[in-house]
Amino acid sequence: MHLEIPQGGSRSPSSIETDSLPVKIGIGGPVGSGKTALVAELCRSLSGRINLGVVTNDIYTTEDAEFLKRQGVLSDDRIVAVQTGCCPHTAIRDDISDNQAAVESLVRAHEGLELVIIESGGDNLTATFSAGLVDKQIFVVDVAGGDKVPRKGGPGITRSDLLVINKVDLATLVGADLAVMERDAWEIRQGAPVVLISLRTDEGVIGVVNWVSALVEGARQMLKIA
Amino acid sequence: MDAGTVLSYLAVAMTTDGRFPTGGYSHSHGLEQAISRGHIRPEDPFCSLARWLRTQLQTVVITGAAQSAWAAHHSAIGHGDLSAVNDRSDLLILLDSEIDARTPSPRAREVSRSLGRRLITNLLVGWTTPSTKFAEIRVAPVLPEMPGLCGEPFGGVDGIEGALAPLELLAIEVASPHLSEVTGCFLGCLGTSPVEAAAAWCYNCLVSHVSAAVKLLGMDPVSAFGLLPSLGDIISDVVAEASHFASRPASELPSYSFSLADALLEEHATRKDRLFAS
Repeated sequence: MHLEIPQGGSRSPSSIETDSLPVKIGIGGPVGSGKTALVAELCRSLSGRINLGVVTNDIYTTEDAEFLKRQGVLSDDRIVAVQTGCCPHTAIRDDISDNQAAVESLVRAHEGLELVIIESGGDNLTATFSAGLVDKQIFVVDVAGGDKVPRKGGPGITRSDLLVINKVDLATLVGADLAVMERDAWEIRQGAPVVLISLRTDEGVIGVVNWVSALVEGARQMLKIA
Repeated sequence: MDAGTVLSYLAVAMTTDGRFPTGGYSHSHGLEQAISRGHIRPEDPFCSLARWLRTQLQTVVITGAAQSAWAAHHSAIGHGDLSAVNDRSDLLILLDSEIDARTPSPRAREVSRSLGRRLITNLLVGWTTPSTKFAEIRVAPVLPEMPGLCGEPFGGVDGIEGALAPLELLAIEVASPHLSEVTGCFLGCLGTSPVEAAAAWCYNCLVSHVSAAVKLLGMDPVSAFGLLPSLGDIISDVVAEASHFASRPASELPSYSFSLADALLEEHATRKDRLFAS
């Protein structure tokens, strides 16, 4: 089931009140799950209609930032890398100072910035973003980790505003049952939105793009009303 | 223990606790590069972490500790020589340039200002109420169990209220003040002595290096932190000497440097594969 805009309870974009710009969205998830590829896809799809920037957090300084720059999805000055001193979860949750500074630098450099995507370093299922840093967060897992991953839970899976299950094209190769993953995800997240995608084949990706786009549009409308 | 003393201890605890968010966790202050270059090798007593820490203490750390002690002394409420907040503010601006002159590495200056900016921002947000021009310290959020203090501004115009005025003016006058100055200024505002401010600075610096070493060298954390008490005599001497400068003219502040660490910091800043920000 791939919805145009993933919905679910209080965490649907239509029920989210984000009344300031830029909207800050965190993207977290384990190493290799496809976070950077998702960020690249979001930039590719949205940069023509949304004024956006990206902050990367990586083990080494610029690995992900360099990848994004090579993809040519954004100009280099819209991509800022943060060093995490071996503590990727600290940088997005416990001590968000460096990421806040990075967001501030993007806001200063780009007038009218509407969206900042903050990509965490690869971490475990407990990694979540501080509410002081982001407005909403996406957690990315992949089917190659096995179909038990959503059932295992952890704050990343249960608390994120949107759960993305990536690499569905590999499901048959790794013996993962997508129906089980989707059912477990909906159950453990109590109906909060879940989307199954493949960044390689493009399947389902429009759902994530629309979900992010709806948040920014919602904030634009709220600001117009105010 | 009176409430003012409790607040003073709390101020020291907050500024020395690595969990207080300032971005400090992502800095090794040259240690990562020192390890990469083979200047620190745990198996070699001549290149040990303890030796690195001793050298840091006797150069960079004592220089910063004196700056913190000086800032604490000149930010203190009831300072005998200064009657107005603005006078103290002028002196803190003077200290800013004196610190620049004693920090040869451009990267070290940049890191110090970046961390100082974050600390002063977070302290002013955390210790003030938005409706007041100057700081109004409310005890209730941190010490709810203390009778008679909950929800009330602590002290009056001549007491603690407005105590953070030097810190607030420093934030206005210097966009990104140095970390040693912010630390000392805050501690002085809360009644911490220059000696305690110097000791707090030493502890902060040492813990930054030790924490980074645990991650970079895979050291046993108990052994690594056990180095701190083993350096007690040196720390004691450093604190005593640093606090001696608290009431001297700023131009007399010490300027010991560790040229290898400065060079390593500059080299580290050019690396693309670094784990730490410095």
